[in-house]
Amino acid sequence: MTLYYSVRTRKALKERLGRLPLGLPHYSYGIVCGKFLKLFRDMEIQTVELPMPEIYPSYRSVGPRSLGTSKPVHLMFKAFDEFRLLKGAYNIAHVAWEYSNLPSFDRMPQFHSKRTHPLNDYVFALGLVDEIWVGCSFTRDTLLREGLSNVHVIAAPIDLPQRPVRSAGNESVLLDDAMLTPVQSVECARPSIVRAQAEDPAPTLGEGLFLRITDCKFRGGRVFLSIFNPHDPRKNPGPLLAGFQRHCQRHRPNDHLIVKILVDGKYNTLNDVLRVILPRRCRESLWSFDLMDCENITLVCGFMTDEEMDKLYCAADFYLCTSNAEGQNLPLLEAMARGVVPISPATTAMADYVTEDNSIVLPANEMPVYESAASAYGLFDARWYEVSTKDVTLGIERAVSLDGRALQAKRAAAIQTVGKRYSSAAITPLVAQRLSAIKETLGSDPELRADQHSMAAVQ
Amino acid sequence: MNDIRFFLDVSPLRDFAWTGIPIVTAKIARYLLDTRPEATIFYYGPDVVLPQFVAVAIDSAPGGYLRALIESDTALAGSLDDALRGDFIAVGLFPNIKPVHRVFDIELVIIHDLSSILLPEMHTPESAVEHSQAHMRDVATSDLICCVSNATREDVIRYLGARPERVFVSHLGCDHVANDTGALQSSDAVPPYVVALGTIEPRKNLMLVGNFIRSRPQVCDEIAFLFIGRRGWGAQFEELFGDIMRMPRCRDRVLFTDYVTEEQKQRLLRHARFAVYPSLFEGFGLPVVECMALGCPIITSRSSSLVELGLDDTAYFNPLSLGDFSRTFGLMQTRTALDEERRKLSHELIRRASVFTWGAFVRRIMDRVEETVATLPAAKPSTRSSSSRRNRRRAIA
Repeated sequence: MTLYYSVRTRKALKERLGRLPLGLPHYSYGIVCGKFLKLFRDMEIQTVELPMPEIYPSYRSVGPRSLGTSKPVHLMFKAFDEFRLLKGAYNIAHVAWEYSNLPSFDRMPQFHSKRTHPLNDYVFALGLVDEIWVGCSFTRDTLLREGLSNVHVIAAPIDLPQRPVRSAGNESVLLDDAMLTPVQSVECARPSIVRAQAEDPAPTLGEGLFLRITDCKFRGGRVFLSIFNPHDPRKNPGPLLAGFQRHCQRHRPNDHLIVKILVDGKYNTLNDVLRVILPRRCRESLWSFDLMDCENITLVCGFMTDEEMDKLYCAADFYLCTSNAEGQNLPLLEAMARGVVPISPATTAMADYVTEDNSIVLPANEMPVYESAASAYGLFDARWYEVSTKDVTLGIERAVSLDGRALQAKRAAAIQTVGKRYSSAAITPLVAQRLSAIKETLGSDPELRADQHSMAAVQ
Repeated sequence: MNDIRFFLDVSPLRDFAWTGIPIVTAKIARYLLDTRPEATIFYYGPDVVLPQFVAVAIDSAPGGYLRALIESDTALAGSLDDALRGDFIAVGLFPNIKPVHRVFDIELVIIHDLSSILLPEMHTPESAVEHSQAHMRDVATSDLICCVSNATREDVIRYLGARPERVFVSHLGCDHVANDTGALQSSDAVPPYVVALGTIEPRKNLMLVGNFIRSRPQVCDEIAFLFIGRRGWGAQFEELFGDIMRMPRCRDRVLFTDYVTEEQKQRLLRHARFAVYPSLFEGFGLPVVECMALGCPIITSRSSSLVELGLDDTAYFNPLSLGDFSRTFGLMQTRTALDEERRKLSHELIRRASVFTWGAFVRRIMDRVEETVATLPAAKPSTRSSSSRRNRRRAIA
């Protein structure tokens, strides 16, 4: 079976068919696509990228590869409004959706600004495809409630580390050559440093990052990690930063939080994040938090290699997540795969895998999505789940008070959860099962939906 | 039998350079003048335009002539509002985006392509939004939707959710001028050249030709490249091809005409070895059919509606593949190297293009309109007032 896929966004196409830079809207579809492509390679499934499937009158026009007898499958990793079908093929959309309902023209006011493109009606857009793959049960249930069918939970596979993960308890400080290797491609700064350099607030290069981690561990501190895109209104950074700061002030001044910010350092710099983007996000969620006033938080931005990310995950003790809603939450799962214990709400996507066995579960309250986030999609009456600063602080305190055995048990459970539900070994049978079912249907049913779309012209 | 009046929106004829949609409008106008002069009303915005001026414009004075006469009120003959009074079925024909909605008893819109929806990055952001909204509104308010290709029809049904029974296809036509290909091709004085067609804009994908020349500059030793097309938007010719035109081998072998008249274009195409049309996406592909009708061999993209135009499979290439383009270009270069071969190909293309006529294009539209009118109950004579007309019943539920 030939499997076509498309991933490039309209913006990337405009910029000479390149890929979107880190942190810009929809870039995570590229990350998910990369994970599936690796899986398909391992499964020996031939894949061909179609940058612009919409231009072909039929899959037969794509090229010699498509001259086979069976209809191909076209898998899209794209935001809803960027769906473009490959005519005649079996079109699947792999989508991420985190809110409790979908934008629909039926619910939008007549003159809403999103009514400028037919695919801004996400219910309509999803109705165009033959099948939908989603990253979690929450999304599947939301789509089913909207009347959509043929929705399958097939999450992006998570790589498990090759080498054994370090043990818990009285571990030695990780001061080895790897920790001294500078990370040249990133900028990193503690907010207080930026304040001190107000006249020339250039952040330092990343060579200090792992030394800071080592320093923290020398002083008996715990390392917390959080990774998010600051542009994304769901990430709720206010309680995350304030809750951690409160914890350090009250109890453990040696603990340290590394916040890996998903901006590329080019379109948005660390300064933009510190001075504009994060304060705006904190304001939106009604938190006023002075980022300039914390010594225990290091902000990092820029592209890090897989090896560097692996090192960062392995250096962390806990992963702190305060997100209001997630479609899968890849960084959290990647951290868990390396034995990092989540401190996270068990809502939306996390409801599938965050439990007290493998995590510190933060309580979260169901709340209406605030206006600036909802209006970006033309979303009405949607809900999400917010955690409070107080609960973040309490969660962190619970985490650091775990004894060695309890911590080890959670680490092992975290690794086991990812291995069981999100590893390549876990996802491969799901994909194989779906592709096999599709192949069977395509072979046996000439009136398949893919065919129904091929309407005869009426002259 | 219901009395029918056809109201044609002639606003596309305001353009100074008539390509594409103005030409389609002119052809519909000419057909109506020839077949239903008494039942035809031309309008431009809120005004009715005198048919004699439309006739002069479409027959002998395209461009700014009609616009000037309308703007000076010379060609106007009362209001559309008044013209709608009376006992007849008013059929609104919209050759492009509808300037008014639900004014006529039956409204028919022609949709040429959905590139503003499917390829918004190929338009300016303002234009993409404006056209996308207009298409959504037009589909929602039209009784009949004419698409100029099967590809467009499929897109309209799929992406705009139009009801299939309302959407039909009428391929565009072209002018079949007298051909004397033999005499034209024997001109030794004309150096061999390839014509690259298309307005200079991203969707026309002329960059592919540029990349081809960059990858094989020696091709300029054998053949020159003549780019025919008016300036559009985005990177312009000098930006796209500046480096090529500075290459010693390609200097004076890669030329740009900017806008040319129909007559000039025809002459250039007749003398060309062959033409290339690498567009990423088309609603129909009028330039390809025009080439065919002139007997000019052409290679074009295996995309959107272009595969409906009846070229040999070997004349198509993937517009995103430089390798495929190079292969197809090479094949056509070989195929047209000998005059005799090229002449045979020319005759075959002319024959194939003969199915695309403007008469057939408009007839299919009129047939569909008349079929629809025939399904209506006979019109009850009544004098419609201005206010009641605003509430004209919808002809089709």
